Order: sequence, then C-alpha cells, then structure tokens
Amino acid sequence: MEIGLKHLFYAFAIVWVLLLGYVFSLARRQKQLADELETLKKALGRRSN
Amino acid sequence: MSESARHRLALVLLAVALLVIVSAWYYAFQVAPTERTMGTIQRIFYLHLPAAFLSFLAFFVVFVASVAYLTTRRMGWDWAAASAAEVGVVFCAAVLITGPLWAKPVWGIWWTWDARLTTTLILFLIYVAYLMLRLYVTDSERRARLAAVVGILGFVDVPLVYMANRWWRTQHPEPVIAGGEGSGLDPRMWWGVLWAFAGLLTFASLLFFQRYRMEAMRAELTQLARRLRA
Amino acid sequence: MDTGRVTLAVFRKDLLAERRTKEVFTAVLLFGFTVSVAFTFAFEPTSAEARKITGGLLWLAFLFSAVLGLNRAFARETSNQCLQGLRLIPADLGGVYLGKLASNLLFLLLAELVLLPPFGVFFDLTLWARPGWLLLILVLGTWGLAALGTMFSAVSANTRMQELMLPLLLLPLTVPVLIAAIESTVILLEGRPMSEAALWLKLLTGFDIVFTLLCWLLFDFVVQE
Repeated sequence: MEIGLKHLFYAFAIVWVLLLGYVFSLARRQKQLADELETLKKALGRRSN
Repeated sequence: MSESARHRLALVLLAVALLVIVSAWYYAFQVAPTERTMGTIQRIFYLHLPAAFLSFLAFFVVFVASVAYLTTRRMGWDWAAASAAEVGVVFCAAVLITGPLWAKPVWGIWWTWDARLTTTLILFLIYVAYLMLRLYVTDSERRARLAAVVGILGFVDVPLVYMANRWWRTQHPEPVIAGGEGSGLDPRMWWGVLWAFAGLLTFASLLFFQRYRMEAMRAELTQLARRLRA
Repeated sequence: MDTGRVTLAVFRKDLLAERRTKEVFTAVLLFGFTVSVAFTFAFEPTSAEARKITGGLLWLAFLFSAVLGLNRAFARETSNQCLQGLRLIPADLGGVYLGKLASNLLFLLLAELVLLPPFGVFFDLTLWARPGWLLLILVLGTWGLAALGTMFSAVSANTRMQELMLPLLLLPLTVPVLIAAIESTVILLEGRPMSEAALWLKLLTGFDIVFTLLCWLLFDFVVQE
C-alpha cells in the first residue's frame, strides 16, 4: 500500500535536517568557544610577558 | 584525554552511529514486514518510537544529574543536565514532527490529543522552559542551582501529566495514534525498533558528549576571562 | 527556629502586608474579571454550549490571574531586600515556602470566590447548587497552582526575564492541575454525580501533596546565595 509514502519521506527528511542542523549548530558554537579560548589564552600569555 | 584523541573518538563514534542507523533503516525498509492495516507509512514508527524513548531517557538523565548536582555541587553534573536537556528537546521535536506526519495519512487529521503525543508536547514545553531558564541566568552557580530544581520538578511532573492525559482521553475518546504501539507486534518489527534505537542512541550520546565538552569549554572561558580582568 | 513557627510567622507577615496594600488580591480579582469579560466576547455564552466550556474558561481565568498575583506576591519580597533578611534567619527556609504558599493560597482563593458570582452571571450558570464540592475543587486546584507558583515565582525572580519566566514554567507543569480541575468543574456544573470526578480529585490531591513536599524540600536551593 502506498498511502503516506510522501509523508514517510518528509518525516525522515525533516528529522534528519533537524538532527544534522543541531550537529552543525553544536559545531559552530564549539568553534566559537574554541576561538575565544585561543584569543584569551594569547592575551594572558602576552600579559605575563 | 588530549584534544586530538577526543576528536578521533568523536569521529569513530559518529561513524559507528551512522553505520548502525543506516543498517537499521535498511532493515526497517527492506527486511521488516509491511504492516497490515496502515501499510508503508507505519515505517515511520522506526523513527518515532526510538526518538520518544531517547527523549525520555534524556530527561531522566536531566533528573539524575540535577539531583546529583544538588547533592555534590560538582559542576560536571550541571553540564550533564544542560547537555541532556538540549539533546532531549531535539529528539522530542522529532517525535512531535513524526507524530502528525504519521497521523495525517492514516487518520486524516494532523493532530490527535492522544495521551502519549500530548504528554510529549507538554514535556517539550517543560524542557524548553528549562533551557530558557538556563539562558536567562548569568551566574553559573545560580544557574546550576535553579536549573537543577526545575529539572527535578519537571521530571516528577511527567507521570502526572501522562495520567491526566490518559484519563482525559478515556473521557473524550478519539482515534489513538498507534494501534501498533506494543500491541501484537511482529517480532521482526521489534528488532527493527531495537536496532534503530541503538543507532540513534549512539548518535545521541555523541551529541551529548559534544555538548558536554562545550559546557566545559565555557567554564574554562569564564575562568580565563576572570583571570584576565584581575 | 522550627518550621512550624517560621511558616506561621511568614504567613502572618504576608497577611499583614496584604491587609495594608491589598495589591495581590485586587490585581488577581480585577484581572480575572477582565479576562472573564474578554471570554464573553470570544465565546457566545448561550447556556447549552456554555456549560461545556465554562469549566475550562473559569480555570483559565484563574490561571492567568494567579500568574499575575504570584508575581506580585513575590515582588514584595525582593523589594526592600526582604529576601536577604529572610536568608539571615537561622531557620530552615522551607518554612518560608510553606508560609508563602499558605498566604498565596488564601489570597488566590478569596479572589476566586469573589470572581465566581460575576462569572456565573456572564455565563448564566448555577454555581451554588453544590457549594461544598465547588469549594473543594477550588481549594485543591488553587493549591496546585500556588504550590508550583510560589516556587517558580522565587525561581523567576532570580532570572533576567523576571516575571516573564513564571508563566513559562508554570503553565506546562500545572497541566495536570488544569485538566483535573476543569474536568471536575464541568462535572459539577453539568449536574452529574460527583463520583465521576473521584479520579480527578484524587489526582489533584496527589499532585498537591507531592509538589508541596518537593518544593518544601527544594526551596532552600532556590533562595540561598
């Protein structure tokens, strides 16, 4: 039976977009934090010199 | 664990997760039998049910971590609670999206006030409120404390929400969203669900650890910033 | 200083403060009244249909005005640094929670009771057929709202969003209270035997006891510094 094949496709598609979107959001936020940490560490390094 | 080692572990976990998920879905689409009454759309079940389990598991972790934080005051528990809550909300959203997409072709309506789906909706609102609370408290110690309290109260509420919805449903009956939810399931379908659950669990754990790492980095950042200002 | 004495002391303090200013009671009453009027515009209060939804409308009016009142009630603590003062008491802060819960419950109940007659007039209801049951439902339902509401007003006072945080937290978590109170009220208004509401009233009682105990235990964590 073919009822809802379109809905099935959309369901999986949307959920994967959601999950991968979250992965990217995490990656982006983590990169931001890592960059800020780098900057701060360098600033502290300069201060002690 | 060094940064590069952690990075490699994350990649390995991701690979494993994707492998399990892909094979789970091969199973779901090829091997598992077609459901008698609903047909193909029923395969949404292999996404809907594991996601529901996962979000519930995540919120349970929030509860445990909240209690642990209040008793030990170790920030690690707060980081765990925050991470679990975010992952839980994401999977909760997945449940709320797949629910209507399942209901529409089968019962013709987008939403049924079925007890499980309604409870999931309320759960979603509770933990979104939890995340907003975390967002709007600046001091990390206070945030941890308040979030922990809400984390505990929220989880204790869940069975009560479910019961209220169940009884309300029996008073105002309407089609139930899944005739197949645990009632007379073909054993091959159960394997499909289990396998899909395993895959999504691995994936969710990965998300959890990444998010946890983020909290740790944020704490380090605040500490360094404080030293800089001093 | 033991919990009982702290509870009583806080309760009396709130009563005294309220008697002077009457802010919480007035706010809840007026807002509830306005909401009820707004409902008459939104929902045709013709008798047949009305009885089905007025139970729900009544509790929505109570809920919205309770949020207002609870915010106001806690704001009284944060102004003039009452809270810091309270923290200095060498006593268990749980008593503060119980005292505030009691005073909030009282003010909300009084406002609700005053709100009922006009509500009944607007929606052409016979409210007083079984006053004992009505009162029971009101007490149990409002207790549930106040139990979590008192807790969350303390929580939200500590956030940048302040009063906005309270409804965000309160509404989802008090869904069981709302459903149970609304169902019981509908049964009452429709003249059906109250035995049908037994399950709901038990749920309400359970909710009230569980969350009052839990909030009493956790309150320290919210107000300590």
